[in-house]
Amino acid sequence: MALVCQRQIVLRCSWRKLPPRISVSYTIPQQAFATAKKVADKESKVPQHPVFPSINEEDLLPKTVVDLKLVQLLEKLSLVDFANMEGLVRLKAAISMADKLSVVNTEGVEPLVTVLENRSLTLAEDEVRSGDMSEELLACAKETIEDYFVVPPGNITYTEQKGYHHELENSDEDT
Amino acid sequence: MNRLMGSIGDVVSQLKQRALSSMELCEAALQRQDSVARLHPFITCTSDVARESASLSQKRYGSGENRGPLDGIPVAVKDNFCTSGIQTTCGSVMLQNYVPTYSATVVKRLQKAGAVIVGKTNLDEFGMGSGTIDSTFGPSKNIYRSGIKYDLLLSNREPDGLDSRFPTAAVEDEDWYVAGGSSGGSAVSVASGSTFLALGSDTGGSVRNPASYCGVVGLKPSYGLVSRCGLISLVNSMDVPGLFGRYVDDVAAMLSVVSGLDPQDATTVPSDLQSLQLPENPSLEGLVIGIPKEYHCPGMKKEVIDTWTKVADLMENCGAQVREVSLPHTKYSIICYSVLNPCEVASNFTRYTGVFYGHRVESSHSMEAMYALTRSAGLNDVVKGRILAGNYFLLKENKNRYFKQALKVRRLISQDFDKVWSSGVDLLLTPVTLSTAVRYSEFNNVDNRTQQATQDFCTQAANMAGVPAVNIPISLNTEGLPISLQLMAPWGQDAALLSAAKWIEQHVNFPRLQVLE
Repeated sequence: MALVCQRQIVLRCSWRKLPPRISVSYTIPQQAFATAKKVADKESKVPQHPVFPSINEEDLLPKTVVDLKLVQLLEKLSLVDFANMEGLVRLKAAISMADKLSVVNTEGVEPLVTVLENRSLTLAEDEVRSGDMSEELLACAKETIEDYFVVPPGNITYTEQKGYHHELENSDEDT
Repeated sequence: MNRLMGSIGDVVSQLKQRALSSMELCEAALQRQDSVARLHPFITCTSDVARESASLSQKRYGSGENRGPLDGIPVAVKDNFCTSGIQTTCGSVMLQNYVPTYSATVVKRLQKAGAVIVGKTNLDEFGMGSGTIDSTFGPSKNIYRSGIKYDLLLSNREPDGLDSRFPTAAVEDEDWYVAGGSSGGSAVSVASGSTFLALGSDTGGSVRNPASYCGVVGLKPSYGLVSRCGLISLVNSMDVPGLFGRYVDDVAAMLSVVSGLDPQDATTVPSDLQSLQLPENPSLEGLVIGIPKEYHCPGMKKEVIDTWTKVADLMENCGAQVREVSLPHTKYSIICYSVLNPCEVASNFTRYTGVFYGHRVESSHSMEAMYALTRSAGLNDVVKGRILAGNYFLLKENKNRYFKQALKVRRLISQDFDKVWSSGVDLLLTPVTLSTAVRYSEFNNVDNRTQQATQDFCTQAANMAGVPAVNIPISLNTEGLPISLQLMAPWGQDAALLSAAKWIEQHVNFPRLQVLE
């Protein structure tokens, strides 16, 4: 009974015509799938072999040299104290992957900044909706004095430990 | 605990008939959360808030009023959505002590609808990852083959028969399967029955990936339909709040509650999804389903291809027109993402300084030193790596070659979709992940960046184009792990997308996991 019902279900696929308790749920899903394929008896539209995303490495622009100066600049912009060996490895890998984009011909293509570019977006009215929350907001911060957020002096450039710059200089000689 | 198994439609009927009370349901959910605690889906359990909401819900049902399809329903919220008065950590040290003074719009809408928020779920730190193993608070584990005892049930709605074909016992050597990411905690909370629904966020597949591994429905709505106000930003041009549920109807109900224009998010647009009602018996009549050939990428497991093939064939036999299509720039999508994501991250993360909120490392001599030390201590290597890379791509001499180029490639990817829709295709059917859930031992051998580059292949492009996409669990493999597929639709066609998803759900009858306690 199971096999016959499956064929009926697959061919007709109209819930109203099916008697209540006989449904695909009583057949093992794999069988229903298998029957579907046989009944169709034509080639599936799903590609049975992978479509290889090949990017011709020769078309790529020359690799960027990641040197100490660059690393120091990035660290200054990022302030994450990550311009060390591990950070460099990650950075190089990220650049290596990003370089593959250069093979795409984008002549005459406009950058897409937002998928909503063709829609009219609403701006909020310029009205004050909330306030009087200085206590709650100051409570979020670790260091406050009176109604002020506290920060150390801002005109001093952050200098990293000499140690790992030395390391980087050495390793750059090897790569 | 049968009450945690059903759809929210069933549960709300019971609540209305007083066969079940909101408080009982809440307690059942909290108890389930306890039973599955070692899967670690939650960072914070909000039991007090939950009981309060449940109590109010119960009073409403008592007086005959109820706020709609979500009234009294336990839900979970990913820990990158701000919840007023409840710590919101993003899985990071940086925000470990952060208690927002406001709630995200989607959270407010859920609360207004009477939903009972039982906890904040675990995630890869700041949403960066595809396994939920990169959280400061430890990994979340997939419930399948985890050692938690469960049955698999054959029928869609009632526990009619056990499905004993699949193994459910724990895997050996104390290994476990990853939950997927970055919204792994939310996926596990739904899969385990701790909640009926959960909020997640999807930037490159972060809802659909864990939904695929955990065998639940995971929807990424069209960009702009659901407010991002209060969702802690990762990539502003791609982030979308995402929805998890065990049934397509449940996800549709949640979408009707959270979607809609928000004056506090200028990237939202009006929609009529608030009155969304899926047809009881959706039909495939007249639908044209596209199969993008590029989505069969190297490394995809045969069982995924077989499932994809079988569902495509099934849909064709049942009235849909199925045809092969091409999205030629698919192979560049992941690379494009690997540029645009760090660029936006580098910009967004300048806010984490330790001055106004969050973690702070003292350095009295210099502000820059304080910033660097704070950020170094508060952000993990994945995050720091992206900030560095992003700043590299945004350097004056690099901007055209990387950032602008990526934006142009993004347009090409988006145009690929437009061309397919214009050719008469209504929906696209594709795999979600290259395989079923990966074992932790295997997953951990590959670094986060490479892992994402592989796993996000099929999910990423939908974020590039802003189109809606949904994960639908189809079947289990011989190891008892879920295999899922993805449907994508033109921007704004979320209702049509969910209708077709419901059709698939009704026809494949995915074995339902029931936790035994």
